[in-house]
Amino acid sequence: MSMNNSVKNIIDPGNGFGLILVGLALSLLGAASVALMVIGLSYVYVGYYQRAVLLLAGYVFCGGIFLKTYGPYLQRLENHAPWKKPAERQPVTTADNDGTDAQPLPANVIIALATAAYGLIIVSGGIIWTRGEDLVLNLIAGSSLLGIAAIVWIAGGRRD
Amino acid sequence: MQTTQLEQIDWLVIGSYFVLLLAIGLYYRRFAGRSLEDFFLAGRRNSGWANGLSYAAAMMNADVAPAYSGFAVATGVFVCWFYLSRFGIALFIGAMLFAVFWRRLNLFTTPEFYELRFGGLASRIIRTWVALKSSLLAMVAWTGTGLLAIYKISEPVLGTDKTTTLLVVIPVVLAYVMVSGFSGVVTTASIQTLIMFVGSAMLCGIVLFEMGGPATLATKLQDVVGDTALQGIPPADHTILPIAAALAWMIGTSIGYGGDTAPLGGAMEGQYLFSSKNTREASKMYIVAEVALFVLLLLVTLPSLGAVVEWPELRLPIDDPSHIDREKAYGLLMSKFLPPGMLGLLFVTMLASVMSTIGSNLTFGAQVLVNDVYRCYVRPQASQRHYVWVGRFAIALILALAIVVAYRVELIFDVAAFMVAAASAEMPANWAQWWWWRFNRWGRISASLGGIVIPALVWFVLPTASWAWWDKTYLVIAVNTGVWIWVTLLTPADSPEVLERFYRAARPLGAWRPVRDLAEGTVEKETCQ
Repeated sequence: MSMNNSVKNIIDPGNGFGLILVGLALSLLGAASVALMVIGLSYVYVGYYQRAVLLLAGYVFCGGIFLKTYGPYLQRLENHAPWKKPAERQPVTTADNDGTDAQPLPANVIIALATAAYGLIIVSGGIIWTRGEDLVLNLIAGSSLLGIAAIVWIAGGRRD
Repeated sequence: MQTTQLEQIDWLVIGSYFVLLLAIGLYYRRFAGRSLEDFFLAGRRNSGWANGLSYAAAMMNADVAPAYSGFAVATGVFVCWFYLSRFGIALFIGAMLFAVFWRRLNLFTTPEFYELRFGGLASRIIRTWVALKSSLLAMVAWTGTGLLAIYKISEPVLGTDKTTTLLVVIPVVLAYVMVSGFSGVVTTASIQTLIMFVGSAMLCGIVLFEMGGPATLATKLQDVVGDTALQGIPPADHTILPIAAALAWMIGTSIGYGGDTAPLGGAMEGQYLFSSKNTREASKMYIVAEVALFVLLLLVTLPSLGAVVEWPELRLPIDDPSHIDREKAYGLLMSKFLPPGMLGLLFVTMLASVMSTIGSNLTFGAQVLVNDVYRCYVRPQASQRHYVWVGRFAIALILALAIVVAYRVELIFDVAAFMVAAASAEMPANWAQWWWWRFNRWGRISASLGGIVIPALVWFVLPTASWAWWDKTYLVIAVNTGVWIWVTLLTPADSPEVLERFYRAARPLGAWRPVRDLAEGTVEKETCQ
């Protein structure tokens, strides 16, 4: 292969081996933080609270460092390989639509509405058909879904 | 067979779940039918968190609850290393080192990568082979086991036979996947993940309450099993999950991960990456998926510690007359502890885990079948409408073949073990194709072929019966890697034009110096987009 070493039109300042090493290190850090979370929560389940607190503190520490470095690292990757947003497409007319470029509602809205509807069904069914402890459990499950729906609506809206 | 008695509220919870899926499918119908990109990649508008939640659900098949609960019975708290080792580092590697580059390529399907990276007839053959292997082998097998799993869940709860179960479930799956495409699959799978969170957490809490709280559970567990069950790290001498096995899983799945997003193992990550709205969202997808998946698996496995206390027979040897199949632990917990309403919710949770996987499998399999086979060889210049309809037909075809699998296969793990074993050996080559310019099409072909031949030799021909499976895995990875490096160095590099085109499109990391110098010194050429 004939290779030209011209320095004109430099499109990449380095080979990126440093980025690979940093990426691998961050992968290990991220995986370690999630592992600490999982084992810490497992210890909570069996009442080993001291170990759990230590592990969960480690999770918060490692997770915090990971989150601090994640954005800047992605920025370096994007500097190495800049993102080019593809051109907008023209709407296509098919049997299923009229060619207008109407977009669906944001995913978080649909997910939140459907999850909330499902939570309401469980709450309603619980109130109609169950009593005592069973009713309490159905109310907890239904209202948990309602709570999650609210979080998805709010958090998803911010991100989208 | 004795079945669990469902009450009116359980039927309401189950029925409304199906109605919800169909309603979402119908909502997306108008948007999904506009073009192939809208149908199979949700118009490339997805956020990382929606894709991540959806991918977590896609990775949770129905065998997960019984199988992982069974592992938890046999191990204890350290069962988490079974999934931490398999996905913990791997998914983060995907997020940190590959997601940005895959999304940057802006491909429509993963098999297109091979033609871009290697060029020529050989790469066209690789692309076609990967597409056929993914759509008509991997996706059919995984979807078939999913259908089988739905029956295995339904039979003890509803008392329905296999045919009745499939007649109820298949029209619903077919309707919402064919109508809504990938948008509907991502949205419904995200909702299914949230339902799984709540359902599994409820069982987790109820079991803990019934056991008398965390400290009491630990004491009882110590009485039945001993201290081993409460360890956070696998013991070196454990028969099922020793630390060496966890290490082998970690090395075997992490090295090479991310470099190929449609391995035979069934992952359909490429579709999630290409449908992300930008490179950052593609990276976030992996991280959200890992956290969501691990929390789900934690919630599924922890209640099984209570099952060990309640039914110590679960840990007896298989030849003991009192032995209970440990994979029934989750079902036993459901039957004993769940009140009306919750039973329906847990049944839906398990259905959700399967249906989300099937939905993802079907759209991914149909996508590559249409784009990398039909569009390349049968009708290259048809309208978008035509391809969308062929895609819908392909979904039905894959589902029909999967039904055959569901009737032919009895054990889910038979298929799962075969698929995973066939995928593992070629993993390191996946990094080479991104990070080493000299890795060529012949190296790629030899890695793929070696991934089939070398495991078969090591497992069935060589005298390795007494070896631990992880030692065989190391041998297979080492030999296959040696083979493809040797083949690569003995054969000429791919053409400079192809390498330069790939370099400009991907800007990959690693050893690309000669190609980078070439790209810097030439006039601007058409890229492969």
